Amino acid sequence: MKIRTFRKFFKEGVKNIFRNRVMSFASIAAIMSALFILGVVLILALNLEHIAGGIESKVEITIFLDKSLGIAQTRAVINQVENFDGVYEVVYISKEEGLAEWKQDLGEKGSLLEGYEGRSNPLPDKLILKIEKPEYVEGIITKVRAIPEVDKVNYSREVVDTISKIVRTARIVGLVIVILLIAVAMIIINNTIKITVYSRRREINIMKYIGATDSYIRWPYIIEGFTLGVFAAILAGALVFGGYKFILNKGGLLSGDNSFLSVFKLLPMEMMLYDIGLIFLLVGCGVGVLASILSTKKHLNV
Amino acid sequence: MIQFKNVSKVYANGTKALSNINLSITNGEFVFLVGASGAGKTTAVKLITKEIEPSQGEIIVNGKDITKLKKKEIPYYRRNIGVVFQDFRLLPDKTVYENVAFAMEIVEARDRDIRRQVPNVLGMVGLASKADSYPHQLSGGEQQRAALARAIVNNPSVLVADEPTGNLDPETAMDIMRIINMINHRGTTVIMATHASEIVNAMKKRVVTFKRGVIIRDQEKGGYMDED
Repeated sequence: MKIRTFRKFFKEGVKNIFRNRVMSFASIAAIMSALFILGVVLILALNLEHIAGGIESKVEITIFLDKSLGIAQTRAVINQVENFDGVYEVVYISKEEGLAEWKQDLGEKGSLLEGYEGRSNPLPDKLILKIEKPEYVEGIITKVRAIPEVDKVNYSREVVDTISKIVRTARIVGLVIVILLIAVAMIIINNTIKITVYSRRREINIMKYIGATDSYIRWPYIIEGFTLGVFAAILAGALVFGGYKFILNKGGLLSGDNSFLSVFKLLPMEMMLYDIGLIFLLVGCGVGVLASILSTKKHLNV
Repeated sequence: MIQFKNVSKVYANGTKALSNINLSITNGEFVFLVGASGAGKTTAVKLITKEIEPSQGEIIVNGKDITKLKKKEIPYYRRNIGVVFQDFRLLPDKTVYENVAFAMEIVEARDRDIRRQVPNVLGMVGLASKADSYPHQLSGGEQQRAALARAIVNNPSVLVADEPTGNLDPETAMDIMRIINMINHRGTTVIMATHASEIVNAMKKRVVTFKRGVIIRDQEKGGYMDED
């Protein structure tokens, strides 16, 4: 195809968009919604995976000790676990320290915990086992559970598992919504092109008589679909990243001022901008072009 | 050379439009297809332009059976056939020049050739001064001239005209016939379906008369046969 012809097609395609403003707007809105949801799901999944990864890298096992234990018994348990393979540090946190830490976490609301000091402290003493490698975790947990003085074992794996479960569910739900929205977008584009084809049926008829090839007739519509996809991708990108930036700016707690929450730090936008932007463009244009190809095939009868 | 060999056409609704037609038209000929409405002449025209397919038989154009053309080949086949209709079928939002140039753009002619050829054919049909007018600013005769210019701008070997004078007054119709005759004199085969008896009688060309889907008369330098 000649460049001049292509330029003509491009002009024609863009002109069609403005000719059917309402339907074009609906098409863009539909693709945009699909991309927006897709973007939210992707960002959510990436962040959750990032958090899960952060937790996993800090391999720790928390042991809650039976409340009735005396100091000597506690000592004995510490000595026992210190000798387990893969344990490089054991930190003892008394129930008093635990309460103080909790108070600090709550900040201004720390006063809520007043009155729980001393005898009425509901917290158990706990031990935090720092592990060299995740591979050791399984064996250590089995051994720790066998110690009668241990009340409860907490391992971050559970958190990690929960998060990956959430990620998986979010992905599936998101994917279903995205597919539905893409279907809606295709239907709307199909109607847009049907209307354009109908309003231009005389011209198309004449083109056929003169000997225009099928692709010559179809190109402007394909470009129309492509352009709608680009618009939708740009708008969805602006919406998703604008929203994300807003959350990053507003979410003081999430941005990691509190060091103990540092694993919950959201990913910086730059890390995802290009990948998600590219996905938006590919999916947006793909949907637009595919819908155009299908609907011209159906309505042009070429 | 255009040949119909045992061509029949039955429409989907059961109407028998043509029954076992045999017809041969040589290059450069001028042929009228005449007959009452529904006699089959428009069906014959549509078969040549490949708007419809015959139910039976072969249609040979320039040595090729066009009923066997692949879908992809149809546009290229049509480029060799200029078509004009009773209702002109010009694009209302394009000027006369643009309407004619459009036919060349579609076949991806070079800009240089378009700029040379379009004024050339507009001059031939006597519309040079109206190049920048829009169809609605033209009389019926002028619109048909523009349509003729568009039909011949790519130098087709065949011009097919379906009632080209149907919407025109007798005087304008004769003007159009003079142009079509001139096109024929340049070597283009002309096939014209009409029921304008005065025109047919005045032109003294070959006349093929259809009645209820069959050819009942084929005359050199013939006249219009009245229905009786």
